Amino acid sequence: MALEVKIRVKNSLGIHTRPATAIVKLLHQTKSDVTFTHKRDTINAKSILSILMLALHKNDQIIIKVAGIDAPEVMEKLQKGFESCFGEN
Amino acid sequence: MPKGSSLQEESLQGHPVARGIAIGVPFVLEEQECIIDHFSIDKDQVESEIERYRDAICKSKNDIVRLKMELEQECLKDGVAVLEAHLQIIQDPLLNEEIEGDIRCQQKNAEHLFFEAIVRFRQKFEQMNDPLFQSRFEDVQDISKRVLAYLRKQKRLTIADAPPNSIVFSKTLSPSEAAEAKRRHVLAFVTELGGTMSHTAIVAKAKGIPYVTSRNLSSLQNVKKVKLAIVDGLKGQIIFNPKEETKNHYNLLCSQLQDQQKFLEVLGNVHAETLDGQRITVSANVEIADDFSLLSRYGAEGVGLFRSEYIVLQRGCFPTEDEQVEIYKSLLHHAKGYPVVIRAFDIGLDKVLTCLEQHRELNPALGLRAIRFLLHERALFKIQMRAILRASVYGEVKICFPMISCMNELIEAKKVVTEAKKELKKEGKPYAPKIKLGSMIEVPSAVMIVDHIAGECDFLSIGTNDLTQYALAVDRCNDQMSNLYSSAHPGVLRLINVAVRLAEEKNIPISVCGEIASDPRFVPVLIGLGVKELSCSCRFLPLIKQTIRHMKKEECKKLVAHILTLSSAQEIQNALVTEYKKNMPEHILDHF
Repeated sequence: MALEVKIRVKNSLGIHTRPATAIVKLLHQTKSDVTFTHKRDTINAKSILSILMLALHKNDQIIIKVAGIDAPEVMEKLQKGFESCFGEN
Repeated sequence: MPKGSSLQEESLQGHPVARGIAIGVPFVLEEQECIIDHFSIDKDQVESEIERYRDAICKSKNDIVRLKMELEQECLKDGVAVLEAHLQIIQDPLLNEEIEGDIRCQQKNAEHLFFEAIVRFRQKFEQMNDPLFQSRFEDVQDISKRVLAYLRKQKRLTIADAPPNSIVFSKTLSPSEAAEAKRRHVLAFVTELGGTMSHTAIVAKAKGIPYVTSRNLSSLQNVKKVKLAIVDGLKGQIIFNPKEETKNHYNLLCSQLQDQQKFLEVLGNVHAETLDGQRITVSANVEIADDFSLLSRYGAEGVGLFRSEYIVLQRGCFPTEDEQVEIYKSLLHHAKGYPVVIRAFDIGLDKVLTCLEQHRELNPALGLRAIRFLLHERALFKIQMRAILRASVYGEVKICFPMISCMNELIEAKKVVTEAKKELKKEGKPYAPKIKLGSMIEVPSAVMIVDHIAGECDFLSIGTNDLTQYALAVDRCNDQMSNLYSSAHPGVLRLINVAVRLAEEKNIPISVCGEIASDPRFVPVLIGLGVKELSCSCRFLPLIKQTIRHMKKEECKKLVAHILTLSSAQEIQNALVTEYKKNMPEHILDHF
């Protein structure tokens, strides 16, 4: 199953080390492939270095793609995470 | 520098970073960033080379896990968060798949390919247009050192190998290395590079480990031959192979300082008043959360200066609003009803970007720092103001703006506070209605317009460290300039005099923070000038209070009148020492 969702970064300081760590940890045990696309760059969301190099700021828009057997629950967790700023703000 | 064979006493003047005295055996940490081996491997060696790489990653990962557990036990939350990120980086698929692929395709040794990958990462990070994100390369670099050390053939000596009574000598020291130092084993740090405000310096101060840097530490090999060394973290001195006499002197000094501190602490909670009845408020300068609990132990009447940027330096990134609220709340709790002055982040690009050469400003002290940085990064500034306002319901908090040099900066800064208040009101988040706003007086131009600044502020605070640096045009972090950097310079004392006079005219309270408020010899000068509040380092509070109790305000005024006629720092210094010795009982040492 493949899902695609557009979200907006709400963290006031963007996705820096801490939220990036939270994202990667959240995806640790998941079976799906997860990518983030920002402007022209698409990266593997299980790689903290790739996330950091996207340098996402507040209000940046990204497309999350999740493909795999646990896609719905992974997507739900990610959406909740972004919504709650991964525990920040 | 110690000459190879001689065992004669030699002394080296360096730059003091963290105070304290240590007598111990040198433990030299070798330079890690030496040449990386580069060789080809046969096709049938590929799998074992990949295995060797995985092994190095696994060992490094175990190190980080162990270190993280240690920090968790010490309740150092910020350090844990950093290591948590390191753990994710070291397991990063991007990095590991790339290296394993490279070993297969290129058939070269792992350390060479790993090093090349790190260089590529560095370039990618440097291309980003946001300095705050760029600075994250620092984490990658810290990890890469660890992995490379495991990939190298020879065994890597780490700070954890230091035997008891070690003084660690190294070219540089990363914060994680400093964190790894066992308190009972490592008595002091000496490095060739590193500044007073580096992350490593903060860790050293937090652990109470004396730290001196010296650019003259050119040959670490020779230090290895030294049997015993003394580090004087106050004077910034390193003594190799001390004579029996020197050793005895420092041993005695160590025990005397301990005894004196105990004696003074007993009187810690008694307030300070001169012999002729002038009450002086003595508050504390605070840098890190570990210091909060020292406030009542040393009898601080509030916090005269909370250097909030240390939160950022310690964790390597800016804390969120909620995290800041918690920190400020905890500080107010420990202040037990006394007022707390929070100075907005006195930080610049040089502090955020310690790993990226290209962004170094030629002259960071004169560049985008403190209030200039905050007004440039308004979102960050507002988050801090919101956090302080939200914490204001838990105690008396005041906000102080750093490095104000003209009225416009002050007016703009106040606007940000007003905006923050409006936002909070809209969101229904409570804050204390009247929060006092103040300005640091640490730039000579600000001194000359204190009357105008006073019109826009509720209080003022003279920061003598920066004031001295800016008035004398001497970089206070440059050890080659240390003979010129002196707050006893008549120019500096006259500036303080002007600031206090202008503040008095406007009837606005003015306090002094900075090193001279922690130096008992300067106390009579400050009292004589009319200062009624001093803010000094926690550990010096009892000593400063005791000094005040031996002074007479009238005598202090006479001393000031005399000193303002003197022409050199040396003459003033001599006059201060004479006055101090005249007033203080002999058992109070003058090694501060």
